[in-house]
Amino acid sequence: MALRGLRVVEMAGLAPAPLAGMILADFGASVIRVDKTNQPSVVLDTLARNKRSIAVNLKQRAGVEIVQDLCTTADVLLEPYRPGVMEKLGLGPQVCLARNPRLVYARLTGFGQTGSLAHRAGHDINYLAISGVLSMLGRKESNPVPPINLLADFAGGSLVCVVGILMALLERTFSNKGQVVDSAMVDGVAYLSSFLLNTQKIGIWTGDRGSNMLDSGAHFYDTYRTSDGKYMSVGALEPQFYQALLEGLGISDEDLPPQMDYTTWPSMKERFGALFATKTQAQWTAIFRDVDACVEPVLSMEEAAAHPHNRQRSIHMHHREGNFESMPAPKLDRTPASPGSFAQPEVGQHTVEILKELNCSNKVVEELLASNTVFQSKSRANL
Amino acid sequence: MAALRELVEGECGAANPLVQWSDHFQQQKSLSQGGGVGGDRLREIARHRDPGQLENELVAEFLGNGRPAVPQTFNMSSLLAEVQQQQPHISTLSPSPLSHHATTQDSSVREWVDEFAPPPHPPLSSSSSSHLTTVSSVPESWAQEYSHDQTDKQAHDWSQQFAPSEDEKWAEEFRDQVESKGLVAAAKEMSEAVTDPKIQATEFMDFVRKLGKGEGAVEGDEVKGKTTDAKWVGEYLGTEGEEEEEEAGYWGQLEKEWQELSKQNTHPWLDDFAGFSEQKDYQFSEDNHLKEVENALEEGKRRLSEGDLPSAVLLFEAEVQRNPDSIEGWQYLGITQANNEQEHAAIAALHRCLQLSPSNLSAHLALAVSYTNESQHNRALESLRNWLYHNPKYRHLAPESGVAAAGKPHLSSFMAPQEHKDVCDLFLKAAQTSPETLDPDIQVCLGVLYNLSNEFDKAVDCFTAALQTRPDDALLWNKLGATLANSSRSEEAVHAYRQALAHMPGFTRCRYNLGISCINLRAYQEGAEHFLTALNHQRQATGTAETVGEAKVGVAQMSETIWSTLRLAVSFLGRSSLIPILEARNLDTLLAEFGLATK
Repeated sequence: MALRGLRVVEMAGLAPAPLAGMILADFGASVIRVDKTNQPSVVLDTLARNKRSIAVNLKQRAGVEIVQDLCTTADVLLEPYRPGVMEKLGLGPQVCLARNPRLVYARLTGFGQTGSLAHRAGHDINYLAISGVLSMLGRKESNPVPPINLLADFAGGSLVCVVGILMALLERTFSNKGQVVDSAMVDGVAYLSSFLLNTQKIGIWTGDRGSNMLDSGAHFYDTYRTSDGKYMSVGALEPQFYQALLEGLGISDEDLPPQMDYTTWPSMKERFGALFATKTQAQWTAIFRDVDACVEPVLSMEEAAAHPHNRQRSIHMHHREGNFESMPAPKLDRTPASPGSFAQPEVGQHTVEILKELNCSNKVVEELLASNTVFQSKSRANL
Repeated sequence: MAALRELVEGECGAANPLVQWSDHFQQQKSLSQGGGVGGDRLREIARHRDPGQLENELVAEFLGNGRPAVPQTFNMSSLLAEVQQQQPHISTLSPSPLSHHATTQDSSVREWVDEFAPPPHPPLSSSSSSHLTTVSSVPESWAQEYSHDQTDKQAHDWSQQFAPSEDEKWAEEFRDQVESKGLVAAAKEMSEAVTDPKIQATEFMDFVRKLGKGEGAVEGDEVKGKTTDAKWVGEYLGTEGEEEEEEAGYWGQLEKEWQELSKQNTHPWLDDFAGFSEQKDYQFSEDNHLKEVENALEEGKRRLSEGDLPSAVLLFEAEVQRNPDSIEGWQYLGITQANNEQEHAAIAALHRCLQLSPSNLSAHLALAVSYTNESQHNRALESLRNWLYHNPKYRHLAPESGVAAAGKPHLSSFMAPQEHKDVCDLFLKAAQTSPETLDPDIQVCLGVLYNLSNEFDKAVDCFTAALQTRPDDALLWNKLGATLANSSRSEEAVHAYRQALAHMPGFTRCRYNLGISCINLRAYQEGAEHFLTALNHQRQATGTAETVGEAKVGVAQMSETIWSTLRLAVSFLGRSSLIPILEARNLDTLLAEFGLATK
């Protein structure tokens, strides 16, 4: 695996930092998640496969020292808190980099370490809003709608952060020095959206939100409801695909307005909508299966996991218990990722194990457990 | 308007940026989709259903001169000219600067276009493709491989290598294997079997290795001519161009599937997901060496009575594989799996039992216990309700079954307190129906119920009461022990577990529980030994296991829960060096490390 031997300390967070840590773990890094001791037993972090968990009380000096020790031998520290929190805990970049100059100190936040919003609370939707991108998302004459929390949290957040970490690690091989990676979701989303911004000049974003070619304004680039309440996706931009689409819909012989006549897009959409509503998703899928018209069924997650193409590429891992997860991407041919067992650690499941790796004696471990500096999860007896 | 025209039409014979940009789209699409030569042509090809020909054309097109022939039908510039006509207000959007940029070629637009379409094999940026189509990397990577180390001559060279009859022979073997057992397996075997370094180094073997790893372009069990490698294999196997065969193969099958589908209005692949959500089908052991044993059910019961749970599991599996409707077989399988510390398998088997026999009381109770252990409180309550409902003695108390009472699928495993109280009341009423003769089953159910609500002292009383009638019931002693352990009464728990193990030494679950109590009492060495003993017991599945000889048998029966608790014990013992051995599931080494006889 590409990242084998890499040691990562991840301060437990909500969704973006856990995904960044999961990606590193999937590709072979050894990731330790630092949890709180007073955590409820139900863990919300479902992005922890193959990580280990140590539960530490950071309000105690001894707890902070444990994390400092972890960072001394780590390659990467990943923290999702608002600016200043790590500093206040005694785990700021100055302290950690002084002890371990090779540490890559990744800070994944919404607004970043600087700027007037840096200390504000926020979530994906707010970051998207501030980046300017949210204003472009959504249908005509409706409020802007984000694509759930995919864009800021995971694309502009987790992925951009991982890119930063890997670049810093690569640079470290020349300089022998770590550095701070200030990964803000607002910045990440803005960067991801370069295409939207840079194409403003070339004339494909002339109308309001939801009335352009790629934002559901055009009848040939949208989803349509089928007679069984499912949907088809249509992306027939180029003339030959559009022609194939018309043939598939059975209206190629009609005298239709030119594809790019935007004034007729709304009426054409109604036309398409009525046509798609006459057949089931399966029927439409069959009609377009031999034809490159850029038409595909909109699949549910379960359907996607069962789809032959996805099965052929093994993009899901199916558990014994019946559920499934996405496999790591991309596929590296020599050193592919291996998500291993998919086991999610309980909070504090590996506390003792990790303390022992830090050369704590049993006596010290017992003391730390007794003083609630750390927490070790226990196995329950079965009836 | 003028500005846009200049942008679109370019100047002085130089290809204009937008046309380049659109060419780029086109190029990527033709590479990425294994098609997209043009809708008309593609449909034409599809109608004849000759993928080989399509691939030929695509390959030829690609090799043409590094740049695909842009079909006449495609013309982004005319498309944009149309936009321009339809949208006169565009010209006001960005007036002179844009025209300047467009004509002077060194502008930011120009740079952007250059970056966007760097020749000759641009890596596809995700942002450029996301709104068009998801681009698979495979075609591009083969194209690159092909372009940088394969000239036509080289390609020819190595295909010549295969011409000698010796090679032909193994290619034929390969084909035979393909037909008999599936491509991936065959490819794997083949790449392992071929040791001649000269052959090993060939592209073909590379491809076979990839197939073996499941990385090749394989559709069903047909090599689909999606990569040049695959095409070469096709050529080599002599299937290339044999339209009939192709028809009968992948395409024919797909055609048939889709025809079926149009009739049924469903996706055929969705069948795989019938009953997807909760009740997973029982997964049988792969190498059941007891499969052929006569009277498997009786033999299983015998092994069970001897405390050989792993062998009993295999025998009950043999029984239900032979007689899929064997109610008793499924019931014993489920209960034995639970006692062998395999909760998920237990749940699957018990569900199967209840499908065949909805009134099977043992299965309902066992299921309630399994769900309790899994913290699936609502399902546990449902099972207990069902137990009462199907019990002739108490049916009058339970007017509706668990399913009817629950009324809706359990979206959450958090317990509804009212439902818990209702079920408790029903069982208390049941206990009062005959106060003079205590029904131990009712006490067991109540014990489970009080475990659900963490009222451990009450649960202890119930199990203790039941034990007065059934003092030799190992399962009951374990339930008492587990309840004591979960209420932090580890010393008392150990006593109860010892009683259970005295009656059934091979009781895996109980030994695991005992190990947990040892850890809680800081007897880490002893705890580790119990876990190792339990794992070894699970693995051994005695009897013919020895003749099979390999530790492989029974590996699937080893519990992840035991491994992970063993890991904790090993950590407490400060033996971190054993963690990698533990992760590798190398039981023999661990047994040796702990001085436990491996025989």
